Amino acid sequence: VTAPTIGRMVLAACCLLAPAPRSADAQSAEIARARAAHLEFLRRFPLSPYAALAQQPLGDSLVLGPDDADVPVRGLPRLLVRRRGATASVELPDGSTRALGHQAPAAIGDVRLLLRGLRERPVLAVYGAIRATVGTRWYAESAAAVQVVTLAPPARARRQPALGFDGAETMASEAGSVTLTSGETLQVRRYETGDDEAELEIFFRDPTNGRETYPAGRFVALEPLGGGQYRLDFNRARNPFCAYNTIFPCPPPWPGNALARPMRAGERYDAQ
Amino acid sequence: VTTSSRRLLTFAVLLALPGAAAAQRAPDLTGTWRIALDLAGGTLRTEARFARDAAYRELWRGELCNGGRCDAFSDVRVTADSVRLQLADYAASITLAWRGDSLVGDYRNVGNRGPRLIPVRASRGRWPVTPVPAWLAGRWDAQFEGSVGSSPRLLEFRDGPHGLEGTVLSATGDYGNFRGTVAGDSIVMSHFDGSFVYHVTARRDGDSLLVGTFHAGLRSQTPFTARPSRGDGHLPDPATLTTADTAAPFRFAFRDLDGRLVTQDDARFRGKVVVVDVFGTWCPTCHDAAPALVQLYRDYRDRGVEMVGLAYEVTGDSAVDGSLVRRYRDKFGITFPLLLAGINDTDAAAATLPQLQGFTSFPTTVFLARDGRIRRVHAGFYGPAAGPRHERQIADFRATLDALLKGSP
Repeated sequence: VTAPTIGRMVLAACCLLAPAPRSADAQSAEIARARAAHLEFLRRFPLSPYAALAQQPLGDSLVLGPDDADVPVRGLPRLLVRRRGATASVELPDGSTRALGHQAPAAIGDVRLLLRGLRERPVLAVYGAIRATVGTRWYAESAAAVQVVTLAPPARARRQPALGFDGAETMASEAGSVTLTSGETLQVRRYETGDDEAELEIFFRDPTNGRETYPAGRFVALEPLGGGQYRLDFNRARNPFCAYNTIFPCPPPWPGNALARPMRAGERYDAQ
Repeated sequence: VTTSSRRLLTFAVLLALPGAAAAQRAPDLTGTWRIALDLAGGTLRTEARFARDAAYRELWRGELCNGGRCDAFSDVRVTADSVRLQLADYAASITLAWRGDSLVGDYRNVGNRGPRLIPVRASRGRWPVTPVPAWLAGRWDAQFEGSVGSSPRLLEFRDGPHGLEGTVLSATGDYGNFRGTVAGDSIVMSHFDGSFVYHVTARRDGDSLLVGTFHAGLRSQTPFTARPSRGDGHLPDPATLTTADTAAPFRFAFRDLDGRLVTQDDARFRGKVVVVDVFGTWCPTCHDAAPALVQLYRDYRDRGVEMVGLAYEVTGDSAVDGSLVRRYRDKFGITFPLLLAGINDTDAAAATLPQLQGFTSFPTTVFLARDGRIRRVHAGFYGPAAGPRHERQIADFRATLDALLKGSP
């Protein structure tokens, strides 16, 4: 091992031990990885939104399968799905039953069933094979699309069901608002995504909607920086799942959250 | 093959050889590594250890360590370009690229909402160990502030061989072993096991107040305040969270891993004190509880105690779930029957166990008297990270079994 090699190793070790580097390069690399992972999710994951065949409120029961079923699914035998609180049971053609848990996918033949949304009124999503090939669909990364903002508290922290970017209901509360360098203000909501997890999301519109980006608008999450500050990086703006597959319901645009100037950053939309 | 083509082939092989040799020279991963996950609200620090398999030298083994608690990676692959680690029974992965003698990459797990990606850095060596000051050591009563209300937690800090260690406890269990550092009035401590990403940052405000943030996942942040604990009353008693129908014998009927139907009426349970462990292989707290239950079974089986585990798994597909439960059984050396009871949802579990009311927790331990009726239900489990609470809980389980064997109500 040569001295320059050792020097490089020491330098690399020092850099790695330093607190999280958030240089522009690191940000760029992170965005590139996130985009690659998102594409992989869309193209290959069994529960990719492009694999969804149907999503419907479960009610008391649903019949899946033949053409006269509540949810016709080609190639699937008649299945009766009965709701049991937040969960369900699936009656198979051979008379046996399968339990279906909330957020726990079950494979039956060539399809996967998933109960999603709020436990008190779950929806049943049916997934099959991924049907579309997804291409690159982002604007080039732009440093101008990144701002550091502070979150002004909301007038009232009301918690209520709301449709998330993934087309499923969750509990959400008003989290306040952020003011951009343009002077415009955007509302922020706190979406509960797990037992101890939540995301601060903004659903915004801008003049690119309908031409270059999804007509209903895009979501972007705030990244906490500490000290009450957040990074708002529109390069990470992403489409709701309804942009990928009309099986998913679209969240209604939030009142007011419209930018006056085009935001050419983040995910694009190609109407196919 | 002509002579000239043979010469061409030889020439091509000679050209390729140095590259092939270089491709095989994967750097040596042996030793302890500092792992850093860059969350939005700070750097989560954890450690990993790697060694070649003793019998098969081409294979690597590794462990992810949260202080004194280490858990094996499901798989470790090392090449000249990268290191790929599988975690949480292959549900998550860390993919790293070599950068000199360090590694850079991502932790990834994918749900139906999309991938969760957290940047990861790794370098050889251990994180610094800092002593725990007297003012911090012990328990703190915390209030986690949600957007529409607060909920109680308990924070524990102790001085261990790895410096600051501790845990976060709720009414039904602990969040696993945390490890961290103290600098002046500021503390950071973290837990990362492949499924759960927890990070606590706090600072002392005056003599008797901690003000901090509980980070979960990449971005979630819950503010909290904590004061030195005034006793055990801060968290609700786990035994009061789930109530039970004690009028009739507890009933269950599920298939074991060989497909045989097992019920409460089977000969092995008749006239015995029975412990029913409601668990899931996906549940880290259940992994904490399993060794304690195995030990209790060893100690009490000959005295008339029987056990049964009811597994609530991921898919509801008996072939898939069965293999997960078999791996769990073999990992902990469980010799009592494990039954496939349903899928991993508290509502589903509650539906299959109608005699438990308010069932919300995995694991839940149900104690049955010799007449088959429920005598005690314990929601959750305090793992080894909970220190004295863990030991007290096991002593409490033993006292319950002793009393039931004597025929006490």
